[in-house]
Amino acid sequence: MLAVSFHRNLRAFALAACLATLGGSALAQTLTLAMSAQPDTLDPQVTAATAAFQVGKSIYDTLVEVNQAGEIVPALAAAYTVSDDGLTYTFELVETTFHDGTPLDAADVVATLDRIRAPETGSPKATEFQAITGVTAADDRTVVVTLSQPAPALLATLASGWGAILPSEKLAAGHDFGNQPVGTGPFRFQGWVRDNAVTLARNDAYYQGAPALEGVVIRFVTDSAVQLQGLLTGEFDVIDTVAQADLPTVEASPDLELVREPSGLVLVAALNARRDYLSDPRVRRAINLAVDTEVVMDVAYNGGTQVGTFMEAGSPWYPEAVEPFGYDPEAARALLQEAGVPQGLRLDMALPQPYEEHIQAGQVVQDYLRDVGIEAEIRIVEWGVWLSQVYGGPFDFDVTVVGHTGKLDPSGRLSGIGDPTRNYTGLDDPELVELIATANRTSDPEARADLYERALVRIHEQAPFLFFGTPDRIYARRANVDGFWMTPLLDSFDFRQATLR
Amino acid sequence: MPAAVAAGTRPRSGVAPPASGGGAERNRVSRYLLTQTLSFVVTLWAVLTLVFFAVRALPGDAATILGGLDASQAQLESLRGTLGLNRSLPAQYVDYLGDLARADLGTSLRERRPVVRVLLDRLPVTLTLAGLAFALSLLVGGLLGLLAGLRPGGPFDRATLLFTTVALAVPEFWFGFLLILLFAVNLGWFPVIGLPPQGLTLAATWNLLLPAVTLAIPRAAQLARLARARVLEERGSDYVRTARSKGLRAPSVARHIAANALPGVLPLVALELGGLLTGTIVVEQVFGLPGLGLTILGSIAARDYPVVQGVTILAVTVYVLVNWLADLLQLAADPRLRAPS
Amino acid sequence: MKRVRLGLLLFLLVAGSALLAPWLVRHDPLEPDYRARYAAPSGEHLLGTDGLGRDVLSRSLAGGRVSLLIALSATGLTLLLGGLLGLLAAGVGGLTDTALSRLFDALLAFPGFLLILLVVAILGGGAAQTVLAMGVAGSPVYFRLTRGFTRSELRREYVLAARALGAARPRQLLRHALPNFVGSLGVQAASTAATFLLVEASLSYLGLGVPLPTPSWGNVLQDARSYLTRQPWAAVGPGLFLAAASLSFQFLSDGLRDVLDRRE
Repeated sequence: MLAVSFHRNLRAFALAACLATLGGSALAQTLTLAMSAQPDTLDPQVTAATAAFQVGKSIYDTLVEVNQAGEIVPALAAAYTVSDDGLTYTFELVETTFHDGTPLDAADVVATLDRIRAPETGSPKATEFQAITGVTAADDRTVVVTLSQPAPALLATLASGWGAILPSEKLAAGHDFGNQPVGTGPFRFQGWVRDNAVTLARNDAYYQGAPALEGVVIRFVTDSAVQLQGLLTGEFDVIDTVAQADLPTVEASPDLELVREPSGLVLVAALNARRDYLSDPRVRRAINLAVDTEVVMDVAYNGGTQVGTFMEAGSPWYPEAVEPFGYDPEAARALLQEAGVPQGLRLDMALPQPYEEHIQAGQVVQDYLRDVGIEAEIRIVEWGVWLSQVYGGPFDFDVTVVGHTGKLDPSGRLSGIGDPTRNYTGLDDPELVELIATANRTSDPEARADLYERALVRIHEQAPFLFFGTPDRIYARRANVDGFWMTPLLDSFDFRQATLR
Repeated sequence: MPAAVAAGTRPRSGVAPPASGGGAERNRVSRYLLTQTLSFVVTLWAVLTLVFFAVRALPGDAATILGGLDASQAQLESLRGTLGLNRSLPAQYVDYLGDLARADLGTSLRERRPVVRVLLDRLPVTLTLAGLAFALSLLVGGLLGLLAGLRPGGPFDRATLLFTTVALAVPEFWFGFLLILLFAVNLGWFPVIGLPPQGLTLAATWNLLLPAVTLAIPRAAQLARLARARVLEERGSDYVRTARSKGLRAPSVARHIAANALPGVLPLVALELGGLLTGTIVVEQVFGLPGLGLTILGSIAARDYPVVQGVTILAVTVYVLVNWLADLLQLAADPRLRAPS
Repeated sequence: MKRVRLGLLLFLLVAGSALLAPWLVRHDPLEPDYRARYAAPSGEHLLGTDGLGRDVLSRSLAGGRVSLLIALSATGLTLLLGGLLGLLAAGVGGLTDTALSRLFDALLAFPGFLLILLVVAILGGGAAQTVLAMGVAGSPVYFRLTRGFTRSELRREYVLAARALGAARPRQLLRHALPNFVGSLGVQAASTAATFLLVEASLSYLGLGVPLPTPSWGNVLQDARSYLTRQPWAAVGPGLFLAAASLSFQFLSDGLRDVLDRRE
C-alpha cells in the first residue's frame, strides 16, 4: 500500500515538475501588454504622439532618463557636466552597441541631435532643442552641446522619448526608423503588424544588464471591454485601460491587480478668451466656481486630485498658495451678474471624439453651467478636426475639454500661455509671457522656481481654463507580473525589471 | 449588413450581352468586355476624383495629426513640406493621376512606405475573412433556403424563418460580441483578440472563424430567404410537376430545382461577395483584425489621403469585377438568357 | 395581409412608445443623477441607469425617436432622390438619361457602407449628416427601379393611348406610370428602412453616429457596450427596441410583397 502510494506521489511530483518547467520556458518569459492607443510611426523624431514613445522606450535609449521617483538620472551618458554659465553641457557616453551591432559613439549623438533640429525632418518637438547652437564630438566618447542661452529644460528634453539616440550610419543611409526602429534599448524590434501588435525580443547586450523577460508583445486593443476580457483569460498580462464600470470586477478578482498612481495629466476645459464675456477674467473665474470639479473627476475620469492652476497635482512645481476653486454656485452667479453676463448665455462647447472621458466631462460641465444660467451647447468634433479648427487656426470654440500630458519640465507645460497667437485659450497677458520666458532661461533653481510659482498663481487668477484636476493613472495587471512600471509624467512602459512569476 | 444597403435589387455594371452562336457570339462578348472596361475606367476616375477632393475637404491634415498638441505653426508647415502637402490641390491631383497611370498608388503619409505595400499587408486578412464568410453564408444560406423551400410550412421552414428574421433584425456586431463572450471568454476556444502578434498565419486562420460566422449570419439569412423564394417558384413550375408525375424521386427533383433556382440567386451572391471587402469594417473593429477595414478607419482619422484613395480603388475594382463575373456566370448558368432574341 | 398587420402593429407600438415617452416615463433622458450611476434595474429605473446616472429606459425610448426619424427620413430621401431622378431620366430620355445613369452607375460601384462612412467622416457625425449619407448611398437602387419601371410603363398600351388623346408627358408619368409600381417601391422602402436602422447602430459603434448627449438606439447601445460586463441588462432595452422596429419594417416589406404578388 505504502509503496504504491509513494510511487503515485512520485509520478505526480515528476509530472508537476515537468509542467512547471514547460510553463516556465514557454509561457512565463514573454509579457503581453494591451494598449489602447497605437503609434503612427516608431521614428521618435517625426511624431508627438505619446503612443510612439510608450513603445519606443523599450527600443531606444536616451542620454539621461527618468527614474521611478521622477528624477532625471544618467543613462547612455554615464556622466554629464554643466558649465557654470549654463551654456555648455558635456556628456560622457557608456560603452554599448546598437541592435545592428555597431558600437555607440559620440558621432551617433551628434547625428541624432542634428537630425531632430533640421527643419526638413519636421519634428514637432524641434522647438525644445532650439537653444542648441552646436553639438560636437570632443572625442569618441564625449559629446559637447553648446547653447545660445541657458536652457534648464534641456535635460528633461533629452530624457524624453524624442531624445532617443539613433545610429549615425543608419541615419546617413536614410534608414526607415518609422517601420524598422534600431536603437540601443533593452529590447530589439522584431516586427510590427499595424492595428495588431509590436513584437520585441530581449537585447542580451543591453548596457544595464539584459532584462529578465525573453520578449515583449505590445498589442493594440482599442476596446476596453476586450482588454479586460483578455486580461481575465490570461491572453494579456498588463492592460493600460480599465473602464470605470469594470473597476469592481478587477478589484474583486484574486488573479488581477489594479494599479492606481498619480499621472502627469492636467485635465481642463479651455475657455476661449477671444470671445465675448469669456474675455472677462471674472466670467472665467465664475465658471470655475460654478462646476463641481470633484464630480467631474469622479464621473468622467475615475477620480483624481483637483487642481487650481495649470500644473499637475503632486508636482514639485505646483504652488502651495494655489487652492482649487471649489464649488460655489452662489459666488459664481454673483460674479456673472457683476460682469453683466445675460441669463441664458449660449456657449459653444466642442468636445473631441473619440475621447469618451472628455465627452462625458463636457456633459457634466453642461449640467452645472445650466444651474448658473449658462447654456453650453455640445458639439462633438473628430480629433483631426479638433486639432485643426479648435486647438489651432480659427480657434472655433467657446469651451472645449482636453487633457494636457505630463511634461518633465514646466517650460513644456506652460509654453505659449498668455500669447493668443501661440495658445488656443487666447489669453492675452504679456506680463505672464515675460514671466514664463524669464523662468525658462533662468539657471538658478530657486529663482526659477519662484518665477514659475508667480506665473502659476497668475494663471490661477486669470483662469484661462476651467481647471478639473489630475486623474489617477489606472491600469491593471495579472497578479504574477512583477517589476513592470510606467515612467512618471511620460507614461512610457518600462519592462526592464519585469518578471512573470 | 452593409451589403444589404443596396440589396434586393441587383447592381449591374451594364446590360448583359444578348449572344448567339459562333463568331458572332465571340464578337459580342469582346464588345461587351470592351464597353465594360471603358465604363469601368470612367467610373473609377469619377469615384477617385470624388474621393480625392472629398478627403482633402476634411479639416486638418496628416501634419496636424502627427504634430498633436505640441507642434508650432512653423513646425507644421515644415512637416507639410516633408509630406508634400503644401503644393496646390490641382498640382497634387495631376501628379496623383500621373502616378496612377504608371500604376503607382503613392506613399502612405502615416506609415511612410508605398501604399501598395500597405494594402498587400492588409489584404490577406480581409480576403481570408471575406472568403470564409462568403463560403459559410453560401453554404448555410443556400442549404437553409433549399430545404425550407422544399417543404414550405414544415418545422424546418419555420425554424429557418425564425433564424432569418432574427439575423436581419439585430446589428451584426452584436452577434460578434455574443460569440466572443460565449466562445472566447467562457469556453476559451478562441482568443478574445483576432490574430497572433505576427499577424495572419496558416494556424491563425482558425481565429477568423468567429468573425467569419459573425459576417455570415445576416448574409446567410438574406440568401436563405431569396433561395427559398426561388425554390418555391420552381416547385410550382411545369417541369417539376411533370417530373413528379413521372415518378422521379424526391432527391433528383430537388437537384433539378436547385439547378434552376441558382441563376436567380447569383446576383445577390455577387453583390455580397463584392460588398464583403468593405463589409468587414465593423467586424474587423469588433475582433481587432488588422485588415483593410481598420486601415480605412485609421487612414481617414490620420488624414492619410493616399491610403484612403488606395483602399477605395481596390474596393471599387473588386466590386465591379465581381459583378461582371456574376453577369458572365449567370449567362453560363441560365441558357434561357442566351437564346437569340 | 396578416404580416402587414403584424408589422404595422409592431411599428405603432414601438413608434408610439417612443413618441409618448415623456408621458410614459418619469425621468428626463438627458438629466444626470451623479448619486445613482450604474444603478441596477429597480422600480425607479426599470432598466437601470448609465454612467451619468441617466435612466436607460427613458434614453431607449427617446433614442427611438431619433433613430426612427433618421431611418425614415433617410428612406424618404433615398426614395425622393432615386425616384424623382429615375422618373426624370426615363421621362426625358436622351442625354439626361445617359448622364444620370452614368452618375448612378458610379455611385453603385461604390460599396454602400464605405460611401456612408466617407460621407459621415467628411461631414461629421450627426443626425442630418447620417440621413444625407444613407440617403445618397441608398438612392441608386431606387433610381434603377424607377427608371426601369417607368420605361416599361411608358411603352404600355394605355399610356400610348393616353398620349394619343393628348395627355402631357409629366401628367402621363404621374397619373399613369407611378401608381403602377408605387407598391413595389413600398416593398423596397420598408426593407431599406430596416437596414438603415442597423446602419445607424453600426455608425454609432464606430463612433461616427449621432453624437452624445442626444440618445439614439445606436449610441445608447454603444454606451451600454462599455459597461456590458457589469450590467448586461443595459443593452437589453435599446437592443430589443431596435430589433422590434427593424422586424416591423421587415414584416411590412414581406407582407406588402405577398399582397402585391397575389394581386398580379
